[in-house]
Amino acid sequence: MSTKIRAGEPAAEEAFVRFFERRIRAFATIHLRDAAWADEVVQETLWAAIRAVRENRVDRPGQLPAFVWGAARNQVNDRIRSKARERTDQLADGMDFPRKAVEHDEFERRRAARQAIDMLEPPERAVLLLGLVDDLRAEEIAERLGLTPETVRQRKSRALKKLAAILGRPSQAGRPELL
Amino acid sequence: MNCETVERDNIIERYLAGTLPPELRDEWEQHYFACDACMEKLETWQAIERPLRGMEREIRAEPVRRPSRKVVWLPIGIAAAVVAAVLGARLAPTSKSVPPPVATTERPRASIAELAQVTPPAYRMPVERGIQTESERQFHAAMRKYTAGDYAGAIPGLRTAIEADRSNDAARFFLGACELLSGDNAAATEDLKAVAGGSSPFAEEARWNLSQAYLKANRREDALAELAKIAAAGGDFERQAVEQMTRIKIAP
Repeated sequence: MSTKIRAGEPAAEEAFVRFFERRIRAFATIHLRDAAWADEVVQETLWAAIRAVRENRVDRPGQLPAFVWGAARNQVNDRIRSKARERTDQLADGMDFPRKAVEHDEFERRRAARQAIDMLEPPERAVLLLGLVDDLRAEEIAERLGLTPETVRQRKSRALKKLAAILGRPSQAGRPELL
Repeated sequence: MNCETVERDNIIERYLAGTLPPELRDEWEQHYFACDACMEKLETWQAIERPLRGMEREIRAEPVRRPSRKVVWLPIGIAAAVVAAVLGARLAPTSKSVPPPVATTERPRASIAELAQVTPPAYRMPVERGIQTESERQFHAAMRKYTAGDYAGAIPGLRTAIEADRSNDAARFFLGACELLSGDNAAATEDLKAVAGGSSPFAEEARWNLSQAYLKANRREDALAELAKIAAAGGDFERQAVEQMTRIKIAP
């Protein structure tokens, strides 16, 4: 794929973008907690990474995920610095319309997620909750619920698959050949 | 790192909670930048993390196993109540954060004092590497005490964090929570009111805790008014707000 990107094949770049966009977005959202900034990080990182591949600055194809992660991290760090600066220069009240739009999207996503969680069986919900909130491993959850660790692992795996199906998360569209 | 260790060590859950050590966090991030299966799990977890936390009370109150028909024959209602009680207790967290029990129609009505019990809010600050402001440094130091259950001990550090940055809503939210948990209801009410009136990610949970502060002061109408606002906003706390309103209305 690197060769194809260097040759300027649009399909290769599209495959590259499909593969990394989700990863960069997840990474940036977790670090910045700001959807608008995460969008910026996605765009900037993808552009920087494609340019690096085009210019043959990534030595081996296997290094590409680590390279893109590093580029995304730099972008996130830049925004954390500007976030610190921004606090000294807050917008006046009523100047936050774009943020409201983002919040509305987030609200809709959460509503859908709550409905999806509601569709799980109670033991599946319990296993997810105990792992997330109480930070319990499968063995500890098993002890708490009177189950075997294997059953806990199965329930967790089943629950996540159900949620992914209900929420329509992007399926594995296949890895680009270079990875 | 491989997919097995991600699963075994609750890597995704700890990553989202912000409790993964930095070296492990970097390793995990590089792993999911290359791994399809883990990326998919992360996206699912990311979508449900906050709603799942918002549903904590109701999930803990749910019975997770069906009564076994071979073991004991009891009238169905009694058996269900026994199983619900036993399994509900098992689901309850063992440490400091024991949420108030969720009442059902079969249970006796809870008193206002019981309904005013406060669960320490989960600490889930974003994981930020690189430069930290003075306010963030103070906040993280204070939150180490918070996670150890030392709520009163966390208060001075949280106040310093706010002095360094008046817009640090996270610090003000947890300050309000710490004051509430340490019994300083008046201070908690003021700080939680300030956060609840804003548009930060902590606003809804601050309003929930503000309603708890009002209940502690036996100000039922004020508590109901805050809960009504939560219910109308339709956020993560919507359902528990509606349930709490019902319980308050029937409380002796």
